[in-house]
Amino acid sequence: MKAARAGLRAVLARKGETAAMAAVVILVMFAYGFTSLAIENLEGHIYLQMRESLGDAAYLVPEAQAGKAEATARRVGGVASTSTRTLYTATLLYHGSTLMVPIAALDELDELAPASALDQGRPPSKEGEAALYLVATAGGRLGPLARLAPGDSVEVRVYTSGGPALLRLRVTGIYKGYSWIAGQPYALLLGEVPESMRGSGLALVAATLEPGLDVASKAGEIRDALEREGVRVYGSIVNTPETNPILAQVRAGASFLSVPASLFLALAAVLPAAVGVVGVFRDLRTAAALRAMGAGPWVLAAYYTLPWLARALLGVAASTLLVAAFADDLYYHMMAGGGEPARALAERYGFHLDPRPLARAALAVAALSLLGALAPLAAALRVNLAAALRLGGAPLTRPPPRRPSVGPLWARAALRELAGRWWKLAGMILALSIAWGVAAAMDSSRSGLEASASLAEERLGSVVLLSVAATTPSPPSPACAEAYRLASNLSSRVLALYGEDSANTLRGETVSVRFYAPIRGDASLVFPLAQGRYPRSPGEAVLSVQMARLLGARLGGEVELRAPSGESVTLRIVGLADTPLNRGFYVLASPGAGGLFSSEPGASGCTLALEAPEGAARLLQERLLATGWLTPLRVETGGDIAASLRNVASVLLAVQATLSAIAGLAAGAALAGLALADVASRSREYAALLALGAPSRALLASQLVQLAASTLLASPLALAWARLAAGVVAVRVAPVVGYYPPSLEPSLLAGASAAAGLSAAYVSLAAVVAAYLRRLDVVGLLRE
Amino acid sequence: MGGAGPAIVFEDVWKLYGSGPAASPALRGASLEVESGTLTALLGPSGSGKTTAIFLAAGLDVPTRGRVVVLGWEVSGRSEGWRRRWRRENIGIVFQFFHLVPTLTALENVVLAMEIAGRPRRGRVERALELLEFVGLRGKADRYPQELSGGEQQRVALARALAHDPPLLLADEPTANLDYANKLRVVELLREAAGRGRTVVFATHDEKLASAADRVIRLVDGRVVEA
Repeated sequence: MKAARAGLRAVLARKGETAAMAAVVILVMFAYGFTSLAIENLEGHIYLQMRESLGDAAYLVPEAQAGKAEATARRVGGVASTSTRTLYTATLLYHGSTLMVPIAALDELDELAPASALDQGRPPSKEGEAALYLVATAGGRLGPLARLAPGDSVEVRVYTSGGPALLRLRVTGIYKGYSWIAGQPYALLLGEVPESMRGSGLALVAATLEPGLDVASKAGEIRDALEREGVRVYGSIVNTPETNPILAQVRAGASFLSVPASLFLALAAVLPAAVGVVGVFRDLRTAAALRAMGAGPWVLAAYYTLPWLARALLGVAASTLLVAAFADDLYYHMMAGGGEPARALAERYGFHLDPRPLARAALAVAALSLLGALAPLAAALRVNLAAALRLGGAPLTRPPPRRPSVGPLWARAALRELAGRWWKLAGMILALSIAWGVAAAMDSSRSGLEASASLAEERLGSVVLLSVAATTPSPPSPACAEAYRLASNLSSRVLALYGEDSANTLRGETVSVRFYAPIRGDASLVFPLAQGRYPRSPGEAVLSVQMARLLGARLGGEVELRAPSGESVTLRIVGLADTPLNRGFYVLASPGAGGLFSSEPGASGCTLALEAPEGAARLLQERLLATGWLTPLRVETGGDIAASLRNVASVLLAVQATLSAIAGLAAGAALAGLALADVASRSREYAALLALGAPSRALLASQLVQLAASTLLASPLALAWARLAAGVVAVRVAPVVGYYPPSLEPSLLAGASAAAGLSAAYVSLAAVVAAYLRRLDVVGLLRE
Repeated sequence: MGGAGPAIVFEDVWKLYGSGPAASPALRGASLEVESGTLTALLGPSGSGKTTAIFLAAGLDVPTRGRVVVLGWEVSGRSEGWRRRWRRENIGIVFQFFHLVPTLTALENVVLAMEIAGRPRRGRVERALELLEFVGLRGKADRYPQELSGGEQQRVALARALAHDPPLLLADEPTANLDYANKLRVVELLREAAGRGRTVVFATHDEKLASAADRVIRLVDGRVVEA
C-alpha cells in the first residue's frame, strides 16, 4: 500500500492543510459536542432537581388542606412516599411591574435551594430585613431582581389572616445557588415568616411512586382521590422527562444553540472538497500518471481521500480530548457561575460525559469529511489521462460548441470554459443554493414572526390582555370568576380564559403547546375563527391556524395530543382560529373540558381579555390588587405582543445572521475552491500566456468574466433549489421558534444580504485569484 | 538598449535552483553568442541546461550570476514587468508541451498572440490565416487544440510564436513530443522562419535534428563545451 503511505505522508508534508482541517474539526465538534452535552445535562439536572422537590407528581393545594391532601395521596396504591412544603408568595411592585416573589424563612433555604451560599452582605437578623436569593446561572443576572443590592429597600404585598398587608423590607444580603425556587430565579428570605401569613399560603404535596408504574395515569388517580376528598387542587405537575413542560421549554430554547451547532458540522465536508479538488488540479499530471500506471479507485482514494480522513480523525481525537477535559468546568461555570454554587452543583449531580453525542459528532465529521474528500477522488477519476499527459494540463470535459462569437478573446475563452468544464457550474449551483437556502429558510421563519406581530397589532387593537394569579387560596372564590366579575364592571366585552402548557412532539420536535379553556365571555376576542365553530364538548377543540398548518391538520379531522394533565387525548377539530397571541401553538378546548388540565381551571389563575377604553386597564389592576389576594401579573396590548414578537424576531435575526454566515462561509469556501481549482487546472495555460507577455490583470479579468457569467447562469437554478430546501428547513425551524413558516417570499433584506454576501465573496475571490496568479511559478510550470 | 550585433550574449552565466547546500546548478558559467539571423541549435542531453538557457534568453528567468544580453538589451537584473513588456514585443516562444489555450481554436490561438502584443485589430485574422497556411494548417483553423494531433498543435504553437513577427524565436525542445516526420516538418519550419531574417534558437537532444541548424552550441552539465 504505497499509495496509502504516500497519502498519509501528505498529512505531515502539507502542514497547512492538516492544520486547517484539524482546526475546523476541533471547532465544529467542540461546538456540537459541548452544546449537546450541556443541553443533556441541563435537562437531566432540571428533571432530577424537580424530582427531588416534586417527586413524580406534585399538587398545589391550600395550606389549610395540606395534611388531608398528603394523607389522601399516601393512601393511593403505588405511592411510595409523600412530602409537603408550604409556599408563600408576595407581590412586589418593582420598577413599574408587578412580580410574584416566593417568600421563605432563611432556615428553609437549605431545603429549597441546597448548597446556596451568601454571596454579598449578611443574613437578615430582625423584622423588616430580608435577604435576596438569586439563581447563579448566567452570573446571577436572570430576572429583574438581579439589580437589587444590599441596602436597597422594597415594598411587598402579602396576604395575612387579617387581610392584605404591606411589608417594607431592607435587603441585607444576597444568597446564590443553582436551584430555582417555586419556578422563579429569585426569592425573598426572611428571618421568620410572619405568623399572620401562616394558613394563607399554598402547600405543595409531592408524591413519589413505586418504580415501574405509569406515572401519568397514577398522577391522575391521585388527583381524582384528592378531589373526591374535597381537596382543591390549584395546580399539578406530572414530572417525567416526556411530560414536564419546563423541559419542553428548555429544549425549545436550547434549539437556538443546537441547530446552528449541527449545521456547523457541514464545514467538515466543505474543506476537503474545496481544497482537495484544488490539490488535484494543482498536480494534475500526478493523477494522470497514477491512472496511466493502472491505479484504480482504491489507490486513488488512498492518495486523495485518505489524507483528509486522517486529518479529520486527528481533529476528532483532539476535540474529544478537549471536550472531555473542559466541558464539565465550562458547564458548571455557565450554570452556577463558578465558586461555591458551581462546586455544589458538581457534587450534587456531577456532569455526565455521555459518549453518545461525541460519538455522533465523530461519526458525522468522519462521514462528512469522507463525503467531501470524495470530491478530489472524483476529480482524479474523471481526468482524461491521455489528454492530461499530452496537453500538460486539465483537458476540457468536452469541447465547447463551435459557434461564431464576438468580443475580446479573453472573454470568449472564459465563456467557453463554462461550456467545456460544466462541473464548475454544477459546483456553483450547489454552493449558491446552500448559502441562499439557509438564509431563505431563516428569513421565512423570521418573517413568520413579523406576520404574527402584524396580526397581533391588527386584531388586538383595543384589547388588553391581563394575567391574574391568586397569591392565596382564601377567600375560596375561584380566581377567574372574581377577576371576570371585576373586569365586566369596566368593559362590555370580556373573556376569561384558563391556560396551561403541555409538552408535545410536533414534527419530531418537543415543543410547548398551550391549552386554553374559556371560563366565561366572548372567545372571539382572542380566538377569532377563520373556519368552523367553537367547541361545545370536551372532545372538541379549535386549533390555531399556525399549529394546524404545521401539523397538516384540517377542519373535521382529529389530532392526538398530550394534554397538560399528562394524558394523551384525541380531539376533533371543529374550528381554526387566527390567534393573534405571541406563541404559535394553541388549543382552545370547550369550557367544560376541565379534565384536560392538571388543576381546577380558573381556581388559582386566569387570563383576562377585555376591550377596554384608555385607563380601564390601570383601574382594573388597582381593583384586582385591592382584593388583597388577586395579583395582576402582566398587562399586554396588541402592541406589546407585537413588540415582544419583534424582540424574538430580532434574536432570530442574530441566529439567522450566524447561520447565514456559516452557510456563507461554507459556500464561500466552495466558491473559492472552485475558483482556485479552475486557476490551478489552467495554471500551465496561464504560465504560457504570461510567458508570451500577457498582463496578469487580463488573466484576472478573464477569471472574473467567467465567474460573473457562471453566477448569472447558476443563479436561477440555485434559487429554485434554495427555495425548495428552504421550505423543508423552515418547517423544521418552525417548532423551534413556535411559529408557522409563511410562504417563502423573498424579502428585500434577504435579497440585499445575498447580494452583499456574494459581492463580498467575489471581491475576496478576486483577491485570492490575483494572489495565486502573482505567485504562479511560470518557469517551474513551463519546465515540467 | 537595442541595436545591431549578436542576438544573444551569455557572459559567465550561472543559474542555481534552490538555495544553500542543496542548491543545484543548471548553468555553470556558460558563455555563448548567437549571431543575428541564424538558426542555432542548443544541443545537449537531458539536464544539460538547454531549457534554462532558453528561458534566460526569453527573460522568463534571471541568472544567479553573470550577464544575459538579448537583441542588445541587458535583460538580467531587469524587473519582471519590464521583461514581460520586452518579451511581448521581441520574443516568440514555442514550448515543449505546446501550451495552447484549450478553449480557443487554432486561429484564435494565433490571433491571441497578436492581441497580447497589441497589434492593430485590422488584419489580425488575415495574418493568422497566413501563418496557419505557412505551417500547413489553414484547413484546420477552426479546430480546438484537443482536436489536433501533437504535431499539429506544435505547428499551431509555432504560428502563434510568429504571430507578432518577433525578431527572436526561441523554441524549447519543440520536437520532443512528436513523431519523426513531424520533427522534420517543425525543424523545416524553424529554418524557414530564420530564413526570413529572424534569429531562431531551438533546444534539442537530437544530433540529427541539430545538424539542420546553421550553428550548434553543445551544452553538457551546464557548461558550453562546443560553440
